[in-house]
Amino acid sequence: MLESSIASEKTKPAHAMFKATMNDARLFRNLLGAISSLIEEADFNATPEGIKLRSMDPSHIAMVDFEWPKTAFDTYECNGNTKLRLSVSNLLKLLKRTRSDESIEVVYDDTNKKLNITLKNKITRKFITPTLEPSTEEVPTPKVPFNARVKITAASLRDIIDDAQAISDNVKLEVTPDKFTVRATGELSSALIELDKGSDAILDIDAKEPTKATYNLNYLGEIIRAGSGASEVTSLEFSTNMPIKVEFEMPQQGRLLYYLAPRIESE
Amino acid sequence: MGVDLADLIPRVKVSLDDLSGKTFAVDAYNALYQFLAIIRGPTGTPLMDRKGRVTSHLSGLLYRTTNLAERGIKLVYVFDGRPPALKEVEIKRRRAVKEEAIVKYEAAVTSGRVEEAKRYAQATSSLKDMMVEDSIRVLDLLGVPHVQAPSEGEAQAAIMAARGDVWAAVSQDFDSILFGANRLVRNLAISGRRKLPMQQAYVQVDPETVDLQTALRELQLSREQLVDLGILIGTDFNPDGFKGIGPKTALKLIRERGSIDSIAQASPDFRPPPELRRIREIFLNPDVTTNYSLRWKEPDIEGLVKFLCGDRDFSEERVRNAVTKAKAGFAVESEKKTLESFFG
Repeated sequence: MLESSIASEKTKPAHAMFKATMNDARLFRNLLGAISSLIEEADFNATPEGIKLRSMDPSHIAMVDFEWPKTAFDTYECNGNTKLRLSVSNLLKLLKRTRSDESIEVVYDDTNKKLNITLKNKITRKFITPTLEPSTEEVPTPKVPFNARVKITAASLRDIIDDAQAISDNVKLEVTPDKFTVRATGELSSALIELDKGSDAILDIDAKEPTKATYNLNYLGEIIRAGSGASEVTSLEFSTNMPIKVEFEMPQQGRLLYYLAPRIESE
Repeated sequence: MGVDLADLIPRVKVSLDDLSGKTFAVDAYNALYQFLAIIRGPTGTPLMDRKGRVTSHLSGLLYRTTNLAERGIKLVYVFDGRPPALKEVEIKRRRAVKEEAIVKYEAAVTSGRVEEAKRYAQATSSLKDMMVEDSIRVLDLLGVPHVQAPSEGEAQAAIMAARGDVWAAVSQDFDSILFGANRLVRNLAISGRRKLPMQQAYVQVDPETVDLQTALRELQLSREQLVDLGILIGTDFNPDGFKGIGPKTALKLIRERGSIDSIAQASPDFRPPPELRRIREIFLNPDVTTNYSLRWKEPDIEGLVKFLCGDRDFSEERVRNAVTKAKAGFAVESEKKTLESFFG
């Protein structure tokens, strides 16, 4: 049914449509999961080159910037620029029981504004879900300078952030040319985690000057938990009392990065 | 009352956390009436001090403001000035409703029908000058800014939102959107529980935001057409609206014809209100001031205790707790900034 309808679409490519497949459906789900931590609904921009998304959380404290080039998919066809707004949490619900030995096919046809998802292994499951009206809100382009950069394994960063979150709502990050320090101070306890440039978790440290800033752990925790499910290496870039950019290296080409506003400390 | 756009306008549910770090302009009369109506004892009598002076509004004002402050949500209160002359009909109607309610309330109390008494009691709320003075005194002691509107408080709050001095106007009514507020927040309260009218039941009510641009886009209307839509349905300035025209028909008519004038041209039976132009002006060009300053000051805890506990019989422990928590909230709020503020 689905195949035949797609075949007929191909003969008249007048309206926008796209079709993408991935052999490992779980990879697809994990990437959606990484977006869902901050954003409930988002506008996906599908172009012949790939899928892009940039969106802020409702309180405008954090932003996700995400790019899936067509090479990240096993097959990818898109005949024009299409903007489709999807409820990410709803999609994840559909994909909840996805397994890694399943393949996924996602088809969007502009005529009925519906997204068709097919999961295949021994049995084939088809889901049809509506798309929403795209928003016209312009998401600003972040233009912030970064003075310090730390490249760290995603698993270690996640441990550090989990530890900090047990103690406080905020975390203070400090980078000097040879050390990355994480401090969390709660009402009763405090935590200090120091990582030297040579330690196993640290892949690289680059600091133009000693840099420190404080971030909200609810947001940072969500970002890091989400991203570490989709990636193994994280780079943190920030400047004193400025937003932080958290970038997760993607196994296939592509981009998953977040910006988070700092908390300004009154000293 | 306000215009009934609930079924037409797109609304987005939000959590209090989403609103943290932001400032809001509240229509003070709208809020104070709510407190007077809701904060009541089991038979429907409002809270009073030992001298019999009503304190429901002060209780609501203190705890709503401090509880929200604790969550990083800052409020600015906007007080009504002189109502536009066109509002007289609506004001008279409200007064009549109140007078009728007082009679029914007294009858219900005399015959011991407690539930009924409570229901009528809620409709008897009226704001005396002294209540407004007391409220302003509490705000001053809390260090919370308030603005005196030249005319409608709701219009003033809307313009403050439109100018970006506050993030959104807070009201239960949709009029703020007609007045040009870029954003409106409804149901802004800590406890999401709201009693259903005439029933012993509660529903969960979450804050929701209404975005003017989104609304205009989804309704496919211009702002002028949205105002005409409101007038068709009925506003405070033409409370009856038009016979046989509900929200859905009104939207259809405006979409088809474009304006009230062209609806009138197309159907001779349809008579627009004679004051149409003036009502439109009230919404599109409201009487507001841009001469206000929004500065928060350190709360005067001892002053509050002296006034509310010494004079109005509030619990000292609760007042001190509320204000102390609010102070921490204001401190947190000032540290939180949105991403855009860094994107030069």
